[in-house]
Amino acid sequence: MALSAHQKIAFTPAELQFLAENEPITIVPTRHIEKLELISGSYGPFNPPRKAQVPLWLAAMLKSSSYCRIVPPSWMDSENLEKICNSEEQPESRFSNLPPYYIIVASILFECAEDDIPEAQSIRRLLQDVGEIRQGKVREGLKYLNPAQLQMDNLSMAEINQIRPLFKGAFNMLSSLADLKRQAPFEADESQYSQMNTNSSLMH
Amino acid sequence: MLSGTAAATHSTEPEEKFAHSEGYTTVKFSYDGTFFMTGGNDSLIRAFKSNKSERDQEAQTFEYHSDGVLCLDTAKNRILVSGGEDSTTYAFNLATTTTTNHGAAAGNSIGGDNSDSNSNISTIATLTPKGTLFRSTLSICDVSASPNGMQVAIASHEDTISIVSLIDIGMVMLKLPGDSKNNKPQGDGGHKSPINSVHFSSDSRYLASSSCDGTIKIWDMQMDSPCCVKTFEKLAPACQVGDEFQQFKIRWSPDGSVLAVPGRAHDIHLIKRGSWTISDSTSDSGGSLRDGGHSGTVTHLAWSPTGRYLSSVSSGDSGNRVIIWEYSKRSVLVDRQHSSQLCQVEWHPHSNTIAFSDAMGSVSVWDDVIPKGHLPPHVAAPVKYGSKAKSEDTKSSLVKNASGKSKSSNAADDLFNDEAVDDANSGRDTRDSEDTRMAIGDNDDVESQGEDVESLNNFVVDDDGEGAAYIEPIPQWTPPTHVKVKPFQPGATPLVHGRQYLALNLIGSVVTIRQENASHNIVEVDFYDKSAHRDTHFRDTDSFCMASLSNQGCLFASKPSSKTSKESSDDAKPSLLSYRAFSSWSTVSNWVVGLPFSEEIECIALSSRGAAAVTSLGYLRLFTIGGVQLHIESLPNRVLTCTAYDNLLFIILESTGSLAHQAMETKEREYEYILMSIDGSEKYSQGVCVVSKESTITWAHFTEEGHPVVCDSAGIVRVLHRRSPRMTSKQAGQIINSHDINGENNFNCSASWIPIIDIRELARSRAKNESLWPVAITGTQLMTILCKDGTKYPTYPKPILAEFSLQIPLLRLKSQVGKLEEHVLRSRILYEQLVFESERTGKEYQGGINVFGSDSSTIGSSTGSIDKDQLEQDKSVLRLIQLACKDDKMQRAMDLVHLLYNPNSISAAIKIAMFNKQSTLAERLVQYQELVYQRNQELYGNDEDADVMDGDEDNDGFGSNLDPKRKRTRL
Repeated sequence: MALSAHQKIAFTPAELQFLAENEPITIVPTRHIEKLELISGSYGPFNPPRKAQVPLWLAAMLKSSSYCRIVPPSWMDSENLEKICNSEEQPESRFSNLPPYYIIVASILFECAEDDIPEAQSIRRLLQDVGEIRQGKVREGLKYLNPAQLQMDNLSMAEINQIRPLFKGAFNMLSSLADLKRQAPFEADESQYSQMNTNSSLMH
Repeated sequence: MLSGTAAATHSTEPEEKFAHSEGYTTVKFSYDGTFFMTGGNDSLIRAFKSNKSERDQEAQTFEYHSDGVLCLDTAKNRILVSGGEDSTTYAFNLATTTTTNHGAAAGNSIGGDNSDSNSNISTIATLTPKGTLFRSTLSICDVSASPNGMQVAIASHEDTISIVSLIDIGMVMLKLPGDSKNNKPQGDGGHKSPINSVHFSSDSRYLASSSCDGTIKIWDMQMDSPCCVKTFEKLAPACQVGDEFQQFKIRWSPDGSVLAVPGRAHDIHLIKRGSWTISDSTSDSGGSLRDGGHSGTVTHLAWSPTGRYLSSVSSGDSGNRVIIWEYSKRSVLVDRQHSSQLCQVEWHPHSNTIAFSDAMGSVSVWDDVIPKGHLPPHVAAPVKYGSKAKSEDTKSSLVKNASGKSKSSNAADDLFNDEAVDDANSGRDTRDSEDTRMAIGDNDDVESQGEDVESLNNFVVDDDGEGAAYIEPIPQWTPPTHVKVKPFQPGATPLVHGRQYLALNLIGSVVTIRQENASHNIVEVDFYDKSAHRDTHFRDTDSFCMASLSNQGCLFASKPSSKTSKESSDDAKPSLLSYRAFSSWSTVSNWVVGLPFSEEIECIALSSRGAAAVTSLGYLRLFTIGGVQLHIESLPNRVLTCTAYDNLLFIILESTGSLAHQAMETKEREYEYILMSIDGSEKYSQGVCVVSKESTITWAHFTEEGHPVVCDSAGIVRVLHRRSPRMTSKQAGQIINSHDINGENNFNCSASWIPIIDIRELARSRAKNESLWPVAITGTQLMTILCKDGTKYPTYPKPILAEFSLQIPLLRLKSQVGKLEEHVLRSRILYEQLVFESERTGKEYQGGINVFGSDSSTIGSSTGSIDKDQLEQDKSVLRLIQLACKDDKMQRAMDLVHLLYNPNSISAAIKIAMFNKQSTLAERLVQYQELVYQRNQELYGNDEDADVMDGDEDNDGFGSNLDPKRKRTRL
């Protein structure tokens, strides 16, 4: 994949997807499948209509050959997402607790099992809204970057990935400046931080 | 008060009482006539005494509604039903407590003309709320309690009529459809605009309803799914929704032969029952009350208790009038102007009194409303009120009137019935006989004065052979004592939006789809395991309404085709039983049998080993899969449901006690069960089928391991736990040896119902507005469908099954100890069931009691052994022992040790005791181990010796280091 050197600091989307595909998900098999002995472990046997937990990649594969229905994860419910969307929109709100791979899991599910998701259209729209609101908040949050730490709980992998290049550079720069300041405390200027902060927010 | 142009002279004036604040006011006499209840805009219900001397006493006020009360109705079992603008319908128990002063009571009468007697009977009405019957989204316009006191029809401003049970408060029995989504292909649709009035006929068979666009519909309520038998489009005036003063009411005559409906031309239409026509040739004026009548639209009408008079009120620019009609002459008898807009009018059930309410919130009571010289409007009151001298007097005069036709009481009864028939008949009656007929009718009234009022309704139609005109057979009034068991199929749902699940289990589902305006339905059979069978669907011309699904085929059954096509009896179909195989090695494996017309299939069951059908004649017919009639057996005719598994057939009957309770209209139910082989050769178990208090059985099935489970309406699921006598006597530490099982089986062993999960509690704990619809129970889990948004049944398309772990309602389930105890008990029950099953069938032990096995891989697939499962259980018990040791509860630990199966587990328990420095406990445990060891040796001889010794030696090495005392006991 053609990625700039800058982007290579982070995971590629394909890598992220690979990681997300290991997330467990519930399926309802539609036909009996004997126990699958695989390198990563054994799954099944599957007895419809009993639910089973399998990794997402296996679920997607079974679904593509219509061997199962995928049960959308509990957070992927329009009512729940609407609530999350509303709470995220509140000023001064924290990031709501969504699973670390929610964006990627949702996109995989929409791709392979849209017919199993009730109200797929509205969920898709809500997820997009939530994603945009959170992205805005992440950018806001970067303002509080300081040499010691930056705390943003409940960020998903994809979201962390987005800010990783910028954050890494800025954070390293800040901490090296802080080191300088510690070594020469009298020369240090208070305005340095604020200057640095404005710089970092200008970067994106 | 104003006095209008009265058609007859009057001595009495209405007595006006201000009862409520200004606004629509409703009035209703209590069933025995001692009170009249009023409801008004001030959201109050008041109870006035109707006795003239006591009328001025202060009314009792009841405040339950939050907005104006729009309608009241009373049922014979002292129930008052009220509905109002707060969209709520309440039911009350109307209790009257009577205290009688000595001396004066004997001569009292509130019945008859002289109701102003000096009564010393003081009665107090008390309303005790029975519950909220129904909540609607719009205001309730009219309620009608069925005369048998079983149900209430509720008309709200929605376009559906709700029928709510009065026995099981709060249960909505059915909703008559609002729009064209009709129940039956041939049936008529529902109302298209808000309903403003409902009324049950006196035999509770027909329900009349009217809507704001003036359409009248008659519903036959005795069908399984009530259907509209007649529609009169735009017969009544159209009225504006929400203006209660415009809403008109329709009322059946007391004998149920005529329905009075306000007409568009300020008249009243009379609709004949049976022929459902407005025409009536016995009267010149047609089927309407018109001449000299109202000048405004009639809004409310009421029949006198005998049906002889009809009172109606109208309001309009030209005046507000109360009119009393003489029904037989179709003429105005009394006409009276009223000062303000009128709302409702009601007759006193046992006296010559009417009450009418107006928009000012006042209620007027009018005594002696029917002038002297006319026949009284009421049946003489029951004996306790009746004055003997007076009725004798009336009687003699009436006998004179009857012109020599005086007959015995029975004959008079017959004659009265003739009248009813004649009324229903068109064109056979002549006018000149009218007077005598009326007189004889009255004769009957007087004769039957001691009887209950309902004896009037209890008429039997005797067709006198002159079949010139078609008379719809009026069904014999079914007294409430006649209770029928309503069988059901487990896993079936009612018809919703033209679709109905006939069967739903772990194999798949059978859905029937009603086709509108077509002679057939579509039946879809859908499997969970698509690899087992292909989903099929077929055109069903027999309108199957029951199905039972097994993994090899599906059994369908139909009811005999409905009586609507009685003209062409060739079309009528008997009850059919049809088996369709999904896959079979034989070329033709489907079979169909028809039952005689007199016999009807009530419920069916199918397993992989045979089929069963219970019929209305009380026969249990057993078939093989190939259709061989294997066995027939008579069962008591109160079978509720049946279900089958492998070679077991499980039948639930309502016990006679339950039926008696039902007749007494209490909610207590009792059930019995029979567990037998599906070839009819053996009965395995029989006894009481337990349900929670005041609940009914809603579901019956077998667990996947083959044990009957039953779910009641309180949400408790119980499993029939059968243990072999050998197992009950078994001591802990013994090893079950398969060689040990003898051939002879006495499986009529101890059976008990164990509650294994409370699904209502489960639904409550989820704190979502969901109800659970059980589908199946595996050894460890409950498979249900979650019904959201207040629905009680699975919808279409088929929802995904939700799985919940079973939880026996033990105590302290929140604590770790409680959880473990529950786990131990549940595993033991399942283990005992599995062992029992393997003993019974002679098959290998299936295993797999992993109670925590939430992952599907362990269920049904693992071929566990008895040893393995015992070890699993011992592990949990050891965990409990560990917790007990930690808390120094030594007796508790000792008790737990008795639950261990394996001698090696006892050694482990000793280790635990030593680890927790409980040396006294360890000592006792060692003694116990010795005991077990000795007993095992006695039982199994030297075979087991080596095994047990092995375990002991391990133990020795461990134990001797820590406990020298133990060595001694061994030596």
